[in-house]
Amino acid sequence: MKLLSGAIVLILVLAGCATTWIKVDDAGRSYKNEHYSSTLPTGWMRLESDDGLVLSKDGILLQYISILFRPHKKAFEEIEKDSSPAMLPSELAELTIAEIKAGQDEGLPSLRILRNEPAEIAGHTGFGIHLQYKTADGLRMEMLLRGVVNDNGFYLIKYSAPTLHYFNRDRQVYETLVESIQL
Amino acid sequence: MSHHRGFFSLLLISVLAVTGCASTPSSKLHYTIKQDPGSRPLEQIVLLPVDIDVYEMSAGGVKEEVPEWSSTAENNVRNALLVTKDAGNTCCITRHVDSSSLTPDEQEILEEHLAFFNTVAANALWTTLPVNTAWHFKAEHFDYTLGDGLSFLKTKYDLDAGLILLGEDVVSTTGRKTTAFVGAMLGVAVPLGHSILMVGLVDFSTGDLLWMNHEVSTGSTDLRDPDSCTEMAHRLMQGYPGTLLVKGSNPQAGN
Amino acid sequence: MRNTLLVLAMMLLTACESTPIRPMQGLDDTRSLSPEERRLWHSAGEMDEKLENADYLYEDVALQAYLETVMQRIYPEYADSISVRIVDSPSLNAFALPNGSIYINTGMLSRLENEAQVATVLAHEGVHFTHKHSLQQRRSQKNSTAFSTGFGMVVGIPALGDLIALSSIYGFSKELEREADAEGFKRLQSAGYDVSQAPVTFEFLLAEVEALEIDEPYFFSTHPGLEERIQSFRELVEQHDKTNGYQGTEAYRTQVDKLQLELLADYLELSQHQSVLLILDRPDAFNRYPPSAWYHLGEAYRLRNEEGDTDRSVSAYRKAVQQAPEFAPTYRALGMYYMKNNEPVLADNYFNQYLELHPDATDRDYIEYYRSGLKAGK
Repeated sequence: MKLLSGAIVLILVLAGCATTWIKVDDAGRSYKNEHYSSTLPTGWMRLESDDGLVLSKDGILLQYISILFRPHKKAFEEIEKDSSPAMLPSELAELTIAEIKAGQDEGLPSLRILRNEPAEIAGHTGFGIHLQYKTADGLRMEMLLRGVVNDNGFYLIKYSAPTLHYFNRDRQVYETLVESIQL
Repeated sequence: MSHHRGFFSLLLISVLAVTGCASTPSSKLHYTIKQDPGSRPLEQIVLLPVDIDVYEMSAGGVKEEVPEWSSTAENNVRNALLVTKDAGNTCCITRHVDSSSLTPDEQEILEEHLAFFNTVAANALWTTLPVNTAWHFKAEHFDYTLGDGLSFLKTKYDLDAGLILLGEDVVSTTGRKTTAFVGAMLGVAVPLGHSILMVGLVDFSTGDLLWMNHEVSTGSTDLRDPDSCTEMAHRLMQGYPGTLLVKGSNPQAGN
Repeated sequence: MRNTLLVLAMMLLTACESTPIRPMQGLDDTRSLSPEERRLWHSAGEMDEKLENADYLYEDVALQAYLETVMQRIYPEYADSISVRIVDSPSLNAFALPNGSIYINTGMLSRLENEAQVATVLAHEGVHFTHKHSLQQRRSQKNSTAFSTGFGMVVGIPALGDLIALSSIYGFSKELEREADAEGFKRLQSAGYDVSQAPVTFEFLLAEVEALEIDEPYFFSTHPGLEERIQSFRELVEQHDKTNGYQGTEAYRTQVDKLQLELLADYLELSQHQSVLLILDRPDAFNRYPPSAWYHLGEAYRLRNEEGDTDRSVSAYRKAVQQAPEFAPTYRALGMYYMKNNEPVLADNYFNQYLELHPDATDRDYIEYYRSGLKAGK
């Protein structure tokens, strides 16, 4: 669950791994898999990878939304912890933050939690986190995370963008997508 | 001032590996200018602080920055661009901003925007990779922006737009060149280094990236040498729309 | 055969640096750097800037001044050249840059017991600077990678040079580290420190490495084996005057003990419960840690979640309440426990106490959510 997963995906593309980006049109807005369904934003590009679903409008270095699903067993790979259906929202948030910090690449000691509170996904109460960090160049990045558990596993919906211009511009797209999710 | 551009360099070199040589057009123009060249009149265009790192690469591939060489390369590039003129002999860029003339807060804002340009440029490059055909609409409708964070340069210094220029040069030692020679005989490619220049023209009011270009040279350019550097800088500035944007000028000039 | 000959010829032609590198003789040597050294110092200066701009450093003027004083006691002639900075990280690490910037992590500081032990670490790091180990290592890399590049080409693997170059910041060669130990030991003795603390420094670090199964590059793990180092320090101690030197336990703890609770909280935030248990789950732990650390011990048991840990965690929380009644997080922890064990009245009481003690709690929204659920009977 690395914060810089967008850059890694980019490198994989350059390495020639097969990836297929598809533009979301009106006909393709409804998305469904075995774990969840959602309404995708028109005009954005989507990519399905092993990590989950990734969406971007201008390119993953400028903004991306990702939807991840993990079974409870080793849901948190970096810290080697499981999630469980009975886990409290604050406990889930605590492990998510630990996972992010444990997986952080060099350049994220500036990570700050701006907000961490209960939040809803598909009628279930989970957590909502807003964090900020600085890259090694000094570029501020912000991230929104919404997470929840049910009997099947752990769901994490993430939005990441530079603070400059892009984060606030596309934030509502993320919020609308989260509201559309059904588990 | 030195930005961490390892990822960006990796990206550009990877582009070369994927495409063979830089055969795809690298110059990108904001869609509003493509649609209407006279739509973005600008009077005062300046060169922002140039940032180039020059490294020496040893026989075994160990890379070390040489600060004196970096400074020489920056001076060479600055001098090359400040004398750039179009066919009509209208000087496009006559001023450069010295970062010491900015307040500490302004320097911090500028630094972050230069880092941001690095990211935006890398992203723009990625969307135009041959393998990324699904993203090529971004090249046709080029609308990247840095936001309005640099608008203080307009209000405080009466500047309309700025050229951002980043670069990297890797110079091989004699030992490295010998290794490459022997490698060639054995049929093994040993990289000899590269020169990379990346430029962007930013509208200070809106942050729009009006034009962007890059130039990559593998082994034949030395940014420490004024003539070699000027040649590469002039190749980089081909397609520069500056004269199209100067108020009162003939919009066809420079085509 | 022809190819091999060509490669060997190429290696001979390659200009391997053979000019010996002598250690600094004094401050003047820092002002007459070779072009090669200037490049290294330039890179080091950029790393200093990056560490500072990226919020890596722990800001504590008094603690930093104290460590600088220790460094000046060990290296008085380099007072203007060597600086000590503190990295805000719970990992056990310290490192030196070629320009005399020495960094030591808060994790390392919080584990050490006295000034003589931190002096052991700082003396060791200082030798990397005075004996120009970065320059030696860099030359060795350039020469060895030239060799390995040549060799690699013969067998068809040309990329070894890059790997060695990339790993240079994670420690020096065993030979250079042994020199740093030996020369650092001399400095320790000259500065009047109790040299018997030198092997002790590494003995408890060894216990930690083994208990936590640390395998990533650390201050000591890329170095000569810890056991070997402990043995060589013991031999050095035997050879030297056994008159007790300065330990400086009280002076050290006055400066450093403020880090204790912060580090425990850092470990819990990283879900590193093993580190907290290693520190606190022993009889003498609370000689050095305040009673509120019972809460941290309880949290470590909760995170470990092995058989019997729930009872252990509650027992620890109760001790925290008895001995540190003003420490708010304990009440939250007990509230969570009773909520999960279907005792809503007790849970709500503890949550209430938590918020009364800590009205600005950043997790207030979670607590209020839980309380509303308790009241609604969920």
